[in-house]
Amino acid sequence: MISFIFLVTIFLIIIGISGVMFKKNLIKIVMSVNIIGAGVNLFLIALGYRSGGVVPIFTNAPGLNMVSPTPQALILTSIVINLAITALLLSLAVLIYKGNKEK
Amino acid sequence: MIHLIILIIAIPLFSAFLLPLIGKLNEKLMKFWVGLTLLLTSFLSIFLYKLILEKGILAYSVGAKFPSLTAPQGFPVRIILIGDALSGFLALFFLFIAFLAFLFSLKILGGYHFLDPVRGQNTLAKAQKKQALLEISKSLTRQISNGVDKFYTLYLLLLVGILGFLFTADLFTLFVFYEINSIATAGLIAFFRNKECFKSAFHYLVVFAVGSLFLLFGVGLLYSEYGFLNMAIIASKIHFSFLDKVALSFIASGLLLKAGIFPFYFWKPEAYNASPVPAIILSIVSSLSALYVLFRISFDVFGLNIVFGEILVLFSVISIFAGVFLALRENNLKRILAYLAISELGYVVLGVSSGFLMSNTEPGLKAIEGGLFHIINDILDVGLLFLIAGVILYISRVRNVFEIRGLAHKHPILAGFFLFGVLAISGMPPLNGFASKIMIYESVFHLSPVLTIMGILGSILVLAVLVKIFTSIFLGAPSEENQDYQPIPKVVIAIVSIFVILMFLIGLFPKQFVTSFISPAAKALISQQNYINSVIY
Repeated sequence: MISFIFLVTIFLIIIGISGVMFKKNLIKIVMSVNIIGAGVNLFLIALGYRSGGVVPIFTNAPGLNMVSPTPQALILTSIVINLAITALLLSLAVLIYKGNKEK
Repeated sequence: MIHLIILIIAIPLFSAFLLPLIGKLNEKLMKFWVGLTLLLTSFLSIFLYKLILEKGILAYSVGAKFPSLTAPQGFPVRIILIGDALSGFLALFFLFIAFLAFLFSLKILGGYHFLDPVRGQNTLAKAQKKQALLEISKSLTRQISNGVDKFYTLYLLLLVGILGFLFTADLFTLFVFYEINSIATAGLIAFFRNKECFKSAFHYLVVFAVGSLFLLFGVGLLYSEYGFLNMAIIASKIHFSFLDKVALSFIASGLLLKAGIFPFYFWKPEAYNASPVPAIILSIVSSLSALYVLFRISFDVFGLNIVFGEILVLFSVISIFAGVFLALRENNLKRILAYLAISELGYVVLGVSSGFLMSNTEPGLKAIEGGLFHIINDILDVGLLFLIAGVILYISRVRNVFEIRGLAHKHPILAGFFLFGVLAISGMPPLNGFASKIMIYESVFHLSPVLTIMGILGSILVLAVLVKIFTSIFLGAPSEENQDYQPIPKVVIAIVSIFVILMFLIGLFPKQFVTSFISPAAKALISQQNYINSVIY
């Protein structure tokens, strides 16, 4: 099961990289960057998975088998950063589009 | 005193987000605020450096100092910042350079994108042309003064990214600062709000979004193997499995992209060409700080890896030559200097990585010292040339510098400064470029004489590129358009002469400089055990 998730992440990253390399449409490039981001985030979250683990709230379940909380904290940050990059990329794409229209 | 490291990062960050508000109130107050922030941070970094020299490596943990304080069993995951003799000294020096570039930016931003279309229309009569130039320059000043608070916000954010690179001891924090760095630089590239600038900013940001995700993927691989993100803890457990090598190649490709040497230099000329000159200076600084992180991770965390060191030496030699040969066929001053910046970074990597290949020997230590010394000289030399390029663009408003002739007649002092820069960057005695390059040449000779020959050849080619520019811009009979050129502001001359004086002093007293600043830094870089012990207690 776990190895299937890793295959999916690698598949997503390869799709994204090929999109960045071969697409000419700016919006499609932004989408491809997002797909790579989703792949890396999925990879990180899959690392923290323990089969049969519970929600990682330490005081509630001290002795039990918990899902690792660190990757969840990491991808929370990483998603926010990806959002910022996407917003900036889209605004630049709009500005380039306007500049092309003027000519 | 104990919070110095976090304050150096936090003060510019806080001040950057306050700036747009202050800029709404009063523009002069805003500029004063930026200067105050930079000065305060520089003073704190001086104290930090003194403290490091007295007490050794400083480790600062954000949050609980020991993991057992949070909970009985405790999670060993904390954000730790480390300042040692190398990162402390680099922070001090980079903040000084950032302050000088800020003073420069008060007068000159060094863009020409608005003026270029008029320049191209040769059919216009001369008086008409002059009028059009005047109008456009007025609108340019208006537009820029509207956005200048954003410029300084991004400037301080980029500085935060650089300082974070220097002090972070945590792989995930490294990723966060990498992203801060990329976003701020992309904003600065697009600052002149021109179609060309938007395109290069988009290109830059796509490249670095992918690069940062590569870095994050490498960090994830390391986390999957060791369950830690702290660099020192990973260093104490590392055992070079296949997965480690894959992770190292992902992380190193992200950092080499940020540094912009051989395989990943393609973004550099475009980005430097579009961004304002003070932002270029900070971009060079950020490339150098990425190199610092690369050395830290590849040599302190991953220990001595012969194959990786050899790959780095190969990349450095190729980038020395690629930079120079690509510069030979350009005719745009900023792009030429961007290519030369690539080749100068090659010397830094050549020195340090070949020093690690000869570790524990006398020439090995000297090569590392030479490489680290060249970090200082690189920013001084290339920075000086970029500042002068900014001044030339400001006074002449010509994109193609080969249209200018005989500038030395009107501005002899500028010609003198440029000549200083040319001699320093190509490693002529008695200037600073010679002092570090001779250290690299002498010590690299013990690894392979071919490397020394390559290095000297690269320097000669740099001289060939720059002498061509010098003769065509400054020498010869002045063209009639020289009369229209603006005078140079006095502050700018003062800033440029500070650079020249520093270069001259370092060139005259290299030995004192190396023993007092560079040797402790080199010792901090090679003592892997001290680095690990500073975190694990």
